[in-house]
Amino acid sequence: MTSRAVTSIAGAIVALVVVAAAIVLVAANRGPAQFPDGTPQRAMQDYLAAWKDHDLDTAYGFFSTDVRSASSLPDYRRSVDGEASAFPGEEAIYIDGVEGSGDRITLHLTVEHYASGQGGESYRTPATVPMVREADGWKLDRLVIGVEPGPLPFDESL
Amino acid sequence: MQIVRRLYLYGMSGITLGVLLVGLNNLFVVVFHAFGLGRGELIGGNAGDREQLSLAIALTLVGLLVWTVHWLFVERSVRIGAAGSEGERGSAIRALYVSLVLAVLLLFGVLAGIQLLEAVARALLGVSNSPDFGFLGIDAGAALATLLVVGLAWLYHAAIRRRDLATAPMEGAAAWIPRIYLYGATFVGLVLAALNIGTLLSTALDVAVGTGPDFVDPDFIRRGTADALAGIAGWGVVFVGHWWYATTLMRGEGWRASSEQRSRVRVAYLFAVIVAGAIATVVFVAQAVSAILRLQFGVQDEFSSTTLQMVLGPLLSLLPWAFAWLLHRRWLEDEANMLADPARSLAVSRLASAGVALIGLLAAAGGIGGLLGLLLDIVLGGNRTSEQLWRREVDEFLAVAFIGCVLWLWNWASLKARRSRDPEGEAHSTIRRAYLLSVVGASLLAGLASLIVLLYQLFNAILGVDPFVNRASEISASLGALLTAIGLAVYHGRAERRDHALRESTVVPETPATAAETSTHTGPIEATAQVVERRLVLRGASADEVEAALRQLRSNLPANIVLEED
Repeated sequence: MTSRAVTSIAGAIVALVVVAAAIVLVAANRGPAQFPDGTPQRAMQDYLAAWKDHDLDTAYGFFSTDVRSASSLPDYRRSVDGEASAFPGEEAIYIDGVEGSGDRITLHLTVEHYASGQGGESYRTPATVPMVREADGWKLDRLVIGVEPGPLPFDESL
Repeated sequence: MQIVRRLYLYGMSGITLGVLLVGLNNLFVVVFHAFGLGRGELIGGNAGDREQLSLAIALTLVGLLVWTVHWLFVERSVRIGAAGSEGERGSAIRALYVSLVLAVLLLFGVLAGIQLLEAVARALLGVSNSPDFGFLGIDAGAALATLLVVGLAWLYHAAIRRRDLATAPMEGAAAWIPRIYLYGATFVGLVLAALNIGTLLSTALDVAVGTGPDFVDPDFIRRGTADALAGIAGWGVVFVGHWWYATTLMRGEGWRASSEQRSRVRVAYLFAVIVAGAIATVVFVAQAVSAILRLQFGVQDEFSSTTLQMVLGPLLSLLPWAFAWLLHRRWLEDEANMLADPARSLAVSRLASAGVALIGLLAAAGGIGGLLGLLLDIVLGGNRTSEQLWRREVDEFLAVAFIGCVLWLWNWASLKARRSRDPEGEAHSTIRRAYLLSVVGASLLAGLASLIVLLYQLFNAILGVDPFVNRASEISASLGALLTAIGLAVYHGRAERRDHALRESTVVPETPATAAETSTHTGPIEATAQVVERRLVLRGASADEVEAALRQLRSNLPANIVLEED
């Protein structure tokens, strides 16, 4: 363990930085995963794409019949406007796993938020979205704003 | 000048090492995430990997450049044959730097390792990550990156320390500061492993009884089991690894073995575990006894635990602590006996008894003081017993007083028996004196605090402040504490006075037993009253020169000064 060892360590670290940068740059070009049509993951992905484009009509179409009967499209729009900060900006959403089988499953997601600019810190929050299979494919069985749970439907009888 | 240079070099090395390791950690996190380790498949949004990579590279390159320059200077100054290299290797600042770096790296590495083990154990036990209860899945990529980066840095610095030890004997701060890291890590590993074993045993009892806490997620038991297993494995490795290394050193040969055998830090570690075991015994036995008393007195429990859980749960949690206590007590005595030094054997045995007696006495005083306070409240017409809460207080005070008295009487009887056998030797014992004066000092402080409260209430009454409060209840707890403190101070103060009188009257004030407590010296001077030892290092250009200087030194020594070589 001499001065030579220290310079060897420094050289190895520089080489490591170069290799790591190459790996990350190649992997970063891959983009989001491609899920087959008719899968709950694909339905979720399409919903998120519509959500990100602020195409709320299309996004609303990905909710189940029960959710849509409880919250109308105008209600949904109002909820989204009230939760403007929840609109996905600098964040990435990952599917960690699928729980359940048959016509009802739950998607386990992780949302990774990261701050641009100095610091570049990131933090992760978990989320789950129940999905149900209907005649025209998999639907989100909970009103969500992005992937965060939306407000409970307003009960006019109260 | 040399000290300032060292402070600068090691300070800068430490700061820039931190920057470098944070950068490398981030770099590995991004790489592992790119491989899909620690996170799922990207389904939406934009991954921030490129930005994370930029930051990681910036931190790594800047940290690497400045650390390399400074660490090269450090390495040059300890190169064998370099001027002053022995002084550099044996410097307290270097010892402090290496110890601090090892401790910080160990902490981060173990926490990351335990996270990985938790991920594995949770997967094996089928625990789901329910966000409804705020449980986020473990990022295995980030944990693995931290384990890898800090693990390699820890190994490098451990190798640096081993190289220093292999080059020349270490003395003074260069020997004991790294020892504090070694035994500190052993102690922390043992304590946290014992806590996790206790949790696992309690969880096993919950499973056996078939009840779990209310309002928790469905995976509570399995999650608790997985996390406890990971904690036992992680902290167990820390304890076993460091203890094995320290014990291997002690049982080896050469200066390192003899230095380790006589180490006070090692004795302090063994003593600390015994004291921790005694504290755990007070806590867990008091919980079990309190539960039994509650059942006997018909006090309602607000939790939905069964009788078996309330009584057996704390006792199961106590098992690892009791085992560690007994084992370390045995090691403490065996190691002292191994040195064939009766004075040291006597001293460590006395130390263990005094430490446990002190813990027992603290608990007993708390319990008895509390009970006395309640009794005085009744006698003086207070209102503390008008609500049902006082029954629970009585249970807890009785339980703490019971286990405290058991521990104190057992060990105080041992200390008293020693004094009966050898009054002069015990009267001169520093440990016995420290025990007695600690009790007297703590009692006086507690008594003074109680007296302040009593006088405050007295003046409140005289001046008519808040006339509607029950004055008896305002003073009963303090009065109970004051009376207990007076009792303890008088009893232990009288014991110390008897010892003092004996010390004054004895012709030979220092016995071999007390000599061992104040010094590790084993030469002919040990029989005299005071032994002061100071270790010096003699350096010269050649062995002949050093030998000549040594002869000259010896020939000029006063009659009552002895010069010995290790």
